[in-house]
Amino acid sequence: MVLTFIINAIVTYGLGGLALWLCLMRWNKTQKVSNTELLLYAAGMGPAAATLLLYYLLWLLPGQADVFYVGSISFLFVALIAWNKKLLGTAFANVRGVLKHMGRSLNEPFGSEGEHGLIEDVKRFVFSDRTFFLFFILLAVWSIGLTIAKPLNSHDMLIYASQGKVFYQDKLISYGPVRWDEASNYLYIGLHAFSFPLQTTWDLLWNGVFGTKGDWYTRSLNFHYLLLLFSMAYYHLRKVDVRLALLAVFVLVFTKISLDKIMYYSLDTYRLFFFTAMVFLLLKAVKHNDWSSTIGMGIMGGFAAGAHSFGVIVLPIVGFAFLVCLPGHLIKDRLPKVGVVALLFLLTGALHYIIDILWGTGWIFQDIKFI
Amino acid sequence: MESTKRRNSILFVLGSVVATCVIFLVYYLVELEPKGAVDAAKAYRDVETFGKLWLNGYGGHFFHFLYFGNLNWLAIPVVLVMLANFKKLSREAWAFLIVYGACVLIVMVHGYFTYRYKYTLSFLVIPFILYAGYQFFSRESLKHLRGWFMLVLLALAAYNAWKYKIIFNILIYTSFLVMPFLLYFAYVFFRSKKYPKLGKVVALGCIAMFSLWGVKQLLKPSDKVADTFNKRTFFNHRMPWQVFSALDTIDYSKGMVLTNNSPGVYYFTNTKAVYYKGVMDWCYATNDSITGGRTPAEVADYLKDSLNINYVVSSAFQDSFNATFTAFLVKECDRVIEDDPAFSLYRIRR
Repeated sequence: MVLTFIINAIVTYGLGGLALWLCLMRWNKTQKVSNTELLLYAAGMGPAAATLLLYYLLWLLPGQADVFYVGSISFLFVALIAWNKKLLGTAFANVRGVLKHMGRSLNEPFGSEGEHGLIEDVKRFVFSDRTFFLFFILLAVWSIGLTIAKPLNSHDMLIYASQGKVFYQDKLISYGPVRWDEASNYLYIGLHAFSFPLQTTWDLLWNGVFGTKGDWYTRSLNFHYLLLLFSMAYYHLRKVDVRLALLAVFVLVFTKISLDKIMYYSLDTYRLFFFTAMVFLLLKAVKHNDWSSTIGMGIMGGFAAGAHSFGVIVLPIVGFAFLVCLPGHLIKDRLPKVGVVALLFLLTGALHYIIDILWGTGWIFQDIKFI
Repeated sequence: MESTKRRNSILFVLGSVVATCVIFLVYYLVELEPKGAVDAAKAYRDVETFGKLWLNGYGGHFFHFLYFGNLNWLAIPVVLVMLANFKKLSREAWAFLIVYGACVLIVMVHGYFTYRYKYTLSFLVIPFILYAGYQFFSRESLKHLRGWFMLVLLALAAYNAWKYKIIFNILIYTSFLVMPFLLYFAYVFFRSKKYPKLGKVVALGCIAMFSLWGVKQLLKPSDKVADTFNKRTFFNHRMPWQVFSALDTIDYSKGMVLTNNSPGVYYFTNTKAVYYKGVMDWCYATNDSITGGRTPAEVADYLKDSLNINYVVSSAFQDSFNATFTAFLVKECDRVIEDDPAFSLYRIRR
């Protein structure tokens, strides 16, 4: 079980994230968005990319063996990395840079060089990246402990996980007026696309391949995205003032909702990551008018839609804001970019809702149907 | 310039006092005792009174201090100031306002009942408020107040965390993880070249504190340590494993199980179950009520005869929302297994 989790995590978080990071770096020709920032976004893209591909495979090629789904998706990640192999050196240099900075910050003894007094040195000690890194390590250790020790136990999480189990047993995604599993009598009344339930399916597929039982990967998602959310808030404000960034993390951590997310499994951190990243990338895309942010926003928007209905409801608003605020000629510059973004929204998550409206449950446009 | 700075300082103090008053007014309004009977489902969502419905519900993104802290509402004055200066706004500021404004409206209208939906904007609004405030206080005549601005926000946020015992809870849960960090601080201070004596004193202090904590753990009776872990740490994962095991031994050709808002039966077992949301008295399979207008005996007959149900899985927490359902469990069922946490498997007596 441990080995299955480790291999799954390496492939999904590691290879999946790396594959998408390299793609974003490839399109980041203007370098207006740093590769480190893109790494932050890509670190959350692996799992959503895996379940997006799994969604298409279970829909278009149902009923295959576990190894087919796991192998195809892993192969695609490796193929994407191979396609961008020239950028691997830059990517590793970036990761090394981040780790080096982390190591240096943590290793630095108390008292900085120069003619500062004790008070100034205490301030520099507290208001530094070191504080955030210590918090990050604390939360990471906590998360690993919780992932290992605590079974899936919250209501909504079990609703999605149960549907993921049904997808695994059926090896099929189909559309109909009700989503009902005859064997268990399980009726899925969720209105959201399947990105999150499919995470459990993905976990079960890996377990199926290795003949193990366990759901550590599904459990790990909550904390992985919580860490990324805090890191994203810190990273963006860190560029302005480290005190401001630490204040933001303090404010965000010390609320009951964060305490809940630190203690219980949930879909929220997953969907929030994509939604928040989409808005950050929208602002970047509008400011820099570059392809890397634009494509990143498109993918993140689709992933946000795939995770939750709220994500798809805001997509037209995001598209409108992008169209209105982007500089350049409306027909020549802006509309083509909005078209690309709309296509990405559709392919990476929003398509489900169109199919569900036309041939499925009707989504939010009909009452929830029952057996 | 000096007089402008002095005037700004006075305005800053006044602004801080006003902000504090607003926050305390919200605390006061949400803590007003409800008049008359309280709807349990609304109370569970923290929207059972008129004040709570508007502050925690519709305006929850801004004013539900318990869940989201007491700073989100500052987005309102920030947005108003931005709109008052709309000619100076950058393209990205407009993009943010469009998306944020629309999302707030959606959350207010459709997400007012569920605090999790209001959480959607948290990781945007806090950086937004802090960034906008920081930019505002970066003007030459206000720069001297920038540190104070952050300090006031820190104090307000810390007060909220203290008021709702969030700091206390986080420290309780994480103390055994935080303590080893004392060793790290000892390492960092011990190596201080600039303050060799002070560094060593602090380092020794850290080591002493860590040792005291360690000795305290060792001296505790082992059952008390286990109890502490069970209560306070992530080892507290109370799950009804006995009920789940029993569910896998039932012969479902004779009848099914009714699960009262517990989807775990589908995930952890191979049960054939009908889902029932007791808090709303809503059965998914029939899209109808189970207890409405029925006596406990009639509920038993209905479940047996119409839905082919022999067993019921429910918890004390879920039962607490529906008196008739609780009466049905007590009068018409035998408790087969009582599990942790107050989770039971019942057989209908028919």
